[in-house]
Amino acid sequence: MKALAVALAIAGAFLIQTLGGRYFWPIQSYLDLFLLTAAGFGLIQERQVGMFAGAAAGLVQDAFSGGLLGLNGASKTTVGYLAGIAGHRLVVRGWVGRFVFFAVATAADVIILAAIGQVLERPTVVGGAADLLYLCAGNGVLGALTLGAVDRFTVSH
Amino acid sequence: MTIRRRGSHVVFAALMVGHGLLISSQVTTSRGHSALQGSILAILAPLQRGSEAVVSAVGSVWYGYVDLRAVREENRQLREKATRLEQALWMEREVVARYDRLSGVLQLAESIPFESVVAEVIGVDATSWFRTLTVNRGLDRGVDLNAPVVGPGGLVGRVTAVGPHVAQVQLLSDRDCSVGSLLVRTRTRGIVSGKGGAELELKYVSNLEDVAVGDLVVTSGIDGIYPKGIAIGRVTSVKNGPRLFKVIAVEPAASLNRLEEVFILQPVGSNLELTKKVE
Repeated sequence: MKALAVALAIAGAFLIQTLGGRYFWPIQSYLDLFLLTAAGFGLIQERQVGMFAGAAAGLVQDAFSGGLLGLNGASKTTVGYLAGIAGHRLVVRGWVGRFVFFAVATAADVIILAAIGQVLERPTVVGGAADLLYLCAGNGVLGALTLGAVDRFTVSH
Repeated sequence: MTIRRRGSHVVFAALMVGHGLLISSQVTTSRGHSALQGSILAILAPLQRGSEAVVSAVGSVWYGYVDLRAVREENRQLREKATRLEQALWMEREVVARYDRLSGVLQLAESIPFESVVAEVIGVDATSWFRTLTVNRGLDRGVDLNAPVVGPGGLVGRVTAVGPHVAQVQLLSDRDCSVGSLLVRTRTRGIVSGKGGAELELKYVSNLEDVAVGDLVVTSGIDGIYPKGIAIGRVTSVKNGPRLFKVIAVEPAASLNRLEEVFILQPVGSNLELTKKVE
């Protein structure tokens, strides 16, 4: 059931990120739905679910982004894993808390990508600090909203 | 719970390693090799260096051992070769010695104005001090009984038995051998006889005669066997005897115990004067 949920989430993220981005450019610039999938499952599920979701989501993202296969896989796996640890140790509730959580997860993802790029001697992160802030904000907002919707869905069922 | 956490750590590590390998397999660094290759090299290089050092040390010891074995084998072969060469050298020396000896014989042959047959010594008397020789010439080469025999230096003896292909030579040193002789310096006559030893004895020389150590003794020719003038030997000691005659020891001119080639002369009773020539 968890695997199915992860698969559905990844599929939805893929569709929105690729198809939706054609018609609404901020989706591609300020949202990373694969990251939200990894961090979200890490937060609300166990750390293993988070890292597997991150691995799968990252590999899909790599496969369709034309970059190095495994680059986002590694970063999203780490984010999912860390999100699972954080979700187990910290109480992340409320809009603000969830916003901060996803924003930090986004920053961590970018840092990991940059670190891997440093090791590989090639740039993996493009854009400046403003772009990073917009991405963190976008992911924070969308993540908080998504988790709020999940909460409501869970309560209603 | 702890086990589950550890399991998640392991799974996480495995996933990261998998991603790392995946990425590395696609990336080439500025140093020209893939990141995966570089990582593997970085990890394995110390191990490789260590193993290389071990292998090198073992190889060094091994090749040292192999070299040692090779050196031993080479040493053995060289020893064998040295032995063979030494044998060959001795054979060459023997050939040279034989050549020198035959040269001496040839010179002697040229100095003897008689028809002669060259013979090789093929046997000696089996007693402790031999007094006869066996030579490889006999009736088939015209060797006659009582034929005088000379060798390098002087008279050797005479033929006392003849076979179809061999002959027996009685040496001067034989007790039964007597040769009419002459002291060259004083022209004193006497008879040289064998004593069975290395020295000869000059008999029947009066105590009144002048005989000195070093005087040359040659054949006198009066015995009808040996031509006159063949060197017999030199006087080595002289003393007056208890009766009428001196006691004179003579050293043979020919090396009777080292003969290898001799000349067998035709038996003649002639009085040829060879003294000057022999001297």
